[in-house]
Amino acid sequence: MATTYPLEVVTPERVLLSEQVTMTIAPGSEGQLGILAHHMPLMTELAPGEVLATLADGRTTSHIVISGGFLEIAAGEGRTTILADSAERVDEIDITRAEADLAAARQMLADSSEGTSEQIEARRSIAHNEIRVRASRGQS
Amino acid sequence: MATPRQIRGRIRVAKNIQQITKAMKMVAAARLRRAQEAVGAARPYAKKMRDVMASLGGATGGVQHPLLRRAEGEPRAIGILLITGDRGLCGAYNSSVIRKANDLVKSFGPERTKLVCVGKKGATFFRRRGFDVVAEHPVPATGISFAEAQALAKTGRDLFAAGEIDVLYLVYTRFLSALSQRPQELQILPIDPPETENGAVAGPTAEYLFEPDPEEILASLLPRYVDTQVYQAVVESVASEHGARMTSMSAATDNAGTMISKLTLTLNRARQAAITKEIAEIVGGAEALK
Repeated sequence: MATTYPLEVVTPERVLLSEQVTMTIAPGSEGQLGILAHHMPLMTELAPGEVLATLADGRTTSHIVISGGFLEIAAGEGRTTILADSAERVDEIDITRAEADLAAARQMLADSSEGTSEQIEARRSIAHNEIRVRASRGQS
Repeated sequence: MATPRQIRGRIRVAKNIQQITKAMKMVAAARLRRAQEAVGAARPYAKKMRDVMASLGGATGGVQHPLLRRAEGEPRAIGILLITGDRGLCGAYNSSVIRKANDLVKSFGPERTKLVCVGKKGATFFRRRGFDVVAEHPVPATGISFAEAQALAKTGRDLFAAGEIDVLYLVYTRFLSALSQRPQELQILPIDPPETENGAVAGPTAEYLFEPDPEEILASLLPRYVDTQVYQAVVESVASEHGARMTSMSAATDNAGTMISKLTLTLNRARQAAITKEIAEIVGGAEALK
């Protein structure tokens, strides 16, 4: 059996996941990251995307969509923490709401002027909601 | 002396009030429980955030960022992010946090103060006194989402980044327990990076791998750090408000109870007096006929 390490997915509103896992795949801002046990201490920014965590039994995968955040791997036992702005398990996603949010984000992009923080925010929101919709469709 | 009829009316009023305060107390108790859960749920993230900031702070000593800008000398203008409730009937909850904010702005006055208010009570108070309330947000009983808190914090951050204010204070009510809440002020901008546990800068941070690099991570982490503090403050204030309301409504219910028993006593006395008077009249009448 593969070596495990503790993974936590935390948002300001709740602790979404706190488990022993064998592997985590996370959307780093510089590209996808695959994390196995004994990874070196790391701190990185996360882009909106999907987090896949293979739990200790080696079969179950926890499938989470995050809107971006940070990932920290602590020195020592390799305790890994994902600090997400918002995160939800794929089976929790309400697809009608995700689609409505996506439409709202597109509208926001159309309304915002070039180079403002609103525009950056809107792009981010579109990316996040596209992933939510896609992930939720793939699930059902 | 009031007539029995009048006293009965007053008892009825007191009973009605007691029913309302009792209902409000129960509603507040139920909401308090949920708000307390939210406070508990927000803690791990806030703690993690501080840890990460502390380890980053070590790796990026002396980095420049707009949110770290310190005004030279005395601050020219201050900003206050004030968190109150929308409604009264919750004891001293609103007034004590407003007093705290009022103390802070005293030396600056309306021209050199900008306010961002959560809750109608604070906004009304300062608007009436001619202060500039830049933004106002209501407080739904269920609390607010992180995204909403983020939007509020952003208003404050933008003011600071634009140089309109030199310091931003957060004035809120800290939730200690259901029975005790304390108004609190906290300077959130410019950011004072939290110290590592032992105050040392070196240590494990030196071994961290940063992607893309410490400065960039810090630049996106700093605003988030402020947002987290604001969210935490709102969550705690909401819990405090429900706690304060529960306590004061419980006291009101007790007072109404005392009032009712006092009035009942007066009523019985008045009733007896009337009976005695009637008997005396009958006896007096019978005597006269003899």
